[in-house]
Amino acid sequence: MGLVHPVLLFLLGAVLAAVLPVKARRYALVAVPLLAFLSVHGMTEGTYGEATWLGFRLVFAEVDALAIVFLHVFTLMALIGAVYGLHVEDRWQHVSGFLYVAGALGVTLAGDYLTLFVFWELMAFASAFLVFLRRQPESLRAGFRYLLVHTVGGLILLGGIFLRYLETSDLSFGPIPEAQAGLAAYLILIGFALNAAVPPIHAWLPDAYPESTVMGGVFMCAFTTKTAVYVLLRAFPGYEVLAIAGAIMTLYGVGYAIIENDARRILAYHIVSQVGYMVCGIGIGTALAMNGAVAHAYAHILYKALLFMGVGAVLEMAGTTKLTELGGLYKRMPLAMLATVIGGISISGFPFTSGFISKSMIVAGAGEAHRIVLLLMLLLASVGTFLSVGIKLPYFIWFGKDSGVPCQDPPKNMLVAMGIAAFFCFFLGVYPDYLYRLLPFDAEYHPYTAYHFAETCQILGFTGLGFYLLRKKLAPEAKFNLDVDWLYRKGSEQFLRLARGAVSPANDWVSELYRTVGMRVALGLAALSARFDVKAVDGVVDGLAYTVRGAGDGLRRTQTGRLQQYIAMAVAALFAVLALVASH
Amino acid sequence: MNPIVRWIDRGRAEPQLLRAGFFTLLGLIVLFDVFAPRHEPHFFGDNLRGFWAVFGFLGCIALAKFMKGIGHAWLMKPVDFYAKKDEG
Repeated sequence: MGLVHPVLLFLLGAVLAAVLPVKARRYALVAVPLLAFLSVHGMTEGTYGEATWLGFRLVFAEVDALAIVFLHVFTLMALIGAVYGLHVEDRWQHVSGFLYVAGALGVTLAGDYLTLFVFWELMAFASAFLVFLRRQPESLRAGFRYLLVHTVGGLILLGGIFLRYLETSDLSFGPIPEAQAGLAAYLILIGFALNAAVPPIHAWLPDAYPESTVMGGVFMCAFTTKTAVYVLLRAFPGYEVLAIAGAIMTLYGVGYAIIENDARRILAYHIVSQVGYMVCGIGIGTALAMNGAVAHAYAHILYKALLFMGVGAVLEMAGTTKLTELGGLYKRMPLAMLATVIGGISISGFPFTSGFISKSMIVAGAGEAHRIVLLLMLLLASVGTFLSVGIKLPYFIWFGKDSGVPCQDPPKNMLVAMGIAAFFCFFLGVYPDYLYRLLPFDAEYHPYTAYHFAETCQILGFTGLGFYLLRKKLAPEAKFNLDVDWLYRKGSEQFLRLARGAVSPANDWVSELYRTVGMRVALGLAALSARFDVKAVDGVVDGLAYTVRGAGDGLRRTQTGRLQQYIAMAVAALFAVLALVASH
Repeated sequence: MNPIVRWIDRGRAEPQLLRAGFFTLLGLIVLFDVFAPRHEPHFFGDNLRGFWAVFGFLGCIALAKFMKGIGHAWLMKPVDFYAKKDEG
């Protein structure tokens, strides 16, 4: 273990962000993630922070190679995000951002399902505030939908955890062999897959992320889906269903990205697509494919953050991210342009960028496992990736017809953050051993072979030719694209009926489960978390009803106020448990 | 003026030159593939020279046509599609 549990650092950081005056706060915002990043470098493998609580063995820090590589990139990303948001005066965004990171790190280090669940919920609550704090009516609605979906996902996960405990009397968090997987394992898998945005339970992501604050989007694109990748890697390696679902995800995401008009929604769909590569790699389950999933998570966090930062700068400076309203901005925001172009070529896997050395590991993993259909799906998705985010997005924001939107390059801190991320995109591409050394599984891979180079250049070059020929047809359209969130958005009445009809019984069922198995006390901690769920579901349903009826801002504020109480309660509970452990 | 902007302006002033450069590059890429050695090919496409060029080009056209088609036929709605219903 390092000097101090990184979760404690970020919880302290959240408190500091809440109380310090602006100038001192800025120092804290940089110091906390920097310290955490350094402390990850000093970590040694082992099990720390063990405690027995009400008969459960809780493990707050299970450190191994897999955890370290994720902690590495999570803390680096927290540093980049904090620098990017330094100019943001709204302290609650910083508080939510740090609590969100604390949740992600807590999940990464959790050695048992109960600890994992507590931090899992903290992540969902804290990140919802990064949407609410945009303070637009649409972001409030999207934030409530986001919270509701994650609450349901959390309940499914909790149901799986309970069932697993009933079956095995063991809550330690480790691989579940596919042959032994029953209902409990698949409920846990669904809970995880929801956070990984696996279709058809992905729509929360392109719904909520584009409505988040500028800084919030940069944080959100990194943590929720990648912690999900991490827990899937740990619990469900080699599950065939993940290999297939992952390959479908890659194409589903790019498909929507090709027809989408909002730049941040394009990037959100690309998260679905890119996480698909990782999920597919986990499903293939060989050492090479799983290493690829880890490497791709690392590289993806950095280039996707770079893209979200560049497009966030456009939103901040030009006031919109609709491609139909943009164009010709390169003259006024050349540095932000450079950032998105670097992000775009990295996600497309250009030689000498991070995408080239990470995505190809998963593709090679599919090839070596003789999964040719998967391999072709993944490569077709990389055609779509370059088409939509490598060419279309930069073309219609920065080049194309000049829209005349007045703007300029963003504040210095945002440029510095983009610079750090851009540096890593090239650094990993040119010096892949830095990343490969961190990879947990035993597999050798060399990205720079003549054939891989030829294959990549052909795919990218001729995709470019396709765009050139179809550029008129591919022009963005000011439309909104339907996705499966239609199912819960198609009308408030049906939605409320659905919520009363399906969600409440699910809650009751879980409560009933506590009682009938007679473990109310033993499951105290989990029950407490479930209480948040029950309350949150009610709160969200009420809240949605109020907003839908067009209630004034006052009502909305009380609603968010109540949610602030929930999150405060969640954090308080967390502190209590940490304190209990520390006293042992 | 920012040097990045100057370079882009210079490129945009001569579209023919850019196009010629792009097509030359595509030619060189395929030429490179003809001579690139193959280690452990995974399937027949790995041994065909220029396979990935055709794959990239046709894949791009197919994805674009398919998604635009399904978008126009079904997925694309007016931007206030949900707003109308939410407030109703």
